[in-house]
Amino acid sequence: LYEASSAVAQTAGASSAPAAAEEVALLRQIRKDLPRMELRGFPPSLAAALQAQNSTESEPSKALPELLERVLFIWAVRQPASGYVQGLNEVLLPLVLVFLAERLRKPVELLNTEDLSSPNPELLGEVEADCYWCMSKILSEIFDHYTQDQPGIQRMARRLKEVLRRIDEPLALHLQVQADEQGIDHLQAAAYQWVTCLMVRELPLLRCLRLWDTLIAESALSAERHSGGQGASGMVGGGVASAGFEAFLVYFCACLLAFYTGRLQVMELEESTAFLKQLPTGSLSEADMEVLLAESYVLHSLFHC
Amino acid sequence: RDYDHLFKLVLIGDSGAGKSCLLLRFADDAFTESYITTIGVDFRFKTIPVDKKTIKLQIWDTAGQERFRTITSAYYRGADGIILVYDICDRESFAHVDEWLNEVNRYVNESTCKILIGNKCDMESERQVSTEEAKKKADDLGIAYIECSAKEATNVEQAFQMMSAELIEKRQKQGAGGRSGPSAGGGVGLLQPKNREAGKGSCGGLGSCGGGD
Repeated sequence: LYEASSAVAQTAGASSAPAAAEEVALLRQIRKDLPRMELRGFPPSLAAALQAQNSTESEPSKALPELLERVLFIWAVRQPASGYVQGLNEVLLPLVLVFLAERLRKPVELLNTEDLSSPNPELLGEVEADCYWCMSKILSEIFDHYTQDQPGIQRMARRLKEVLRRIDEPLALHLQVQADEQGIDHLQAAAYQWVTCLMVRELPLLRCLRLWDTLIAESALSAERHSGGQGASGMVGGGVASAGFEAFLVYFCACLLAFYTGRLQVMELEESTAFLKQLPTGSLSEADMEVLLAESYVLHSLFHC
Repeated sequence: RDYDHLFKLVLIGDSGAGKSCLLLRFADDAFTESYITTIGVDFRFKTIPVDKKTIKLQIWDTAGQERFRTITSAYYRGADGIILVYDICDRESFAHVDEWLNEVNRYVNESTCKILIGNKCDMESERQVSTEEAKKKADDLGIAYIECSAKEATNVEQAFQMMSAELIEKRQKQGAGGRSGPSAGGGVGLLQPKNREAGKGSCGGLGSCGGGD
């Protein structure tokens, strides 16, 4: 934590006067994307506080957007093989809200605009370090999702189709026929988005946090297994292929598709494309989520271990 | 089949140029300031009448960021038309036009129709690329140029109409005897920005130095 914290502090200066042209371009891209995020399941004012641009208040409201900018910038600079990839800005959202809520000792769902627009600077330093560390840890498991050609994302999309065929053949066939008829692989296109943003864009934040809890736990378990029971604290998980954000997530995505099977199977291509890119998860209850995770767990145990 | 022609169009250009917003305006006649970034690809259908024909457009919207290139380039293949978008308030996005064309030319053939769109022409005060410069660029490249505003719905419909008309013409030529003369088709005329008297006035002192002869 200390190491991450000092690294962030160190490069914080660099972000105000970046040397290389590449870094300028990187910062430009991050600044373009930060205002272009959605916070599903929260009032728009809360998202606005995270994005600064739309807010009318002056100085203090910039603190959180700048935190996001620094974490993304530093992570990207230190991971040249990947760099900043659009969607990582959204991956950071759950982390920053969870750590902020923790420091403020209140549940995430009770965070208000004021918490986000005028946070305590000292407290933010810790939040920033935690965000940076956790983001690095999570992304280290799925690093090739964001590198050149994005092999990880393509692998995930393929596996999602395979799993779907095993658990819901009629739906898999329905989508496949649609795709073949018009030469439009809409499931693949949707899967790219789901996986790139680790479902942050697809689920209301609280449901997403519930999913991430399981994914993080699965990663820890698999790391433990691979290190011969010596604890889950190994920096880079030895068992990348079985990490939660890789293996388990595929099963969850397949179960989510199967959850909507009745609606998807009566849709035409255009409709299902829009549906897949914007799943109506607003109505997904906590209980639904538990069922989906239980189903994913069963599949994971059946197919994976 | 409820249409005469089906065309596949692909929107490309730098991140933040407004590709998704143009598509949203065209497909749903809507606009939002806070549009989220496109990850990978998106697509929409829209059926429009062009010259008494019913045209179904299948429009692919691609992520602008370089990292998604492998994923998005798979969708260039088989495109009938390429819509290259830049932001008139962002010189860099204009500077990348050649790069985008080189990239897309690796996947499409000569006959693929291309058009250059300068988006956000409602933000005149922040303009970084003049209409004249962009027109010249498009002329040099042999493609049509039009300035649009997704926000104010300026020329968006026209851009798609223009492209469709050219594609129909091309397809009819192909259909009629397969005559594939090299000069067939030619360029489409430049379409002037609709609500603006481009090139008139506005240029400050430049106009006053004539008058000698």
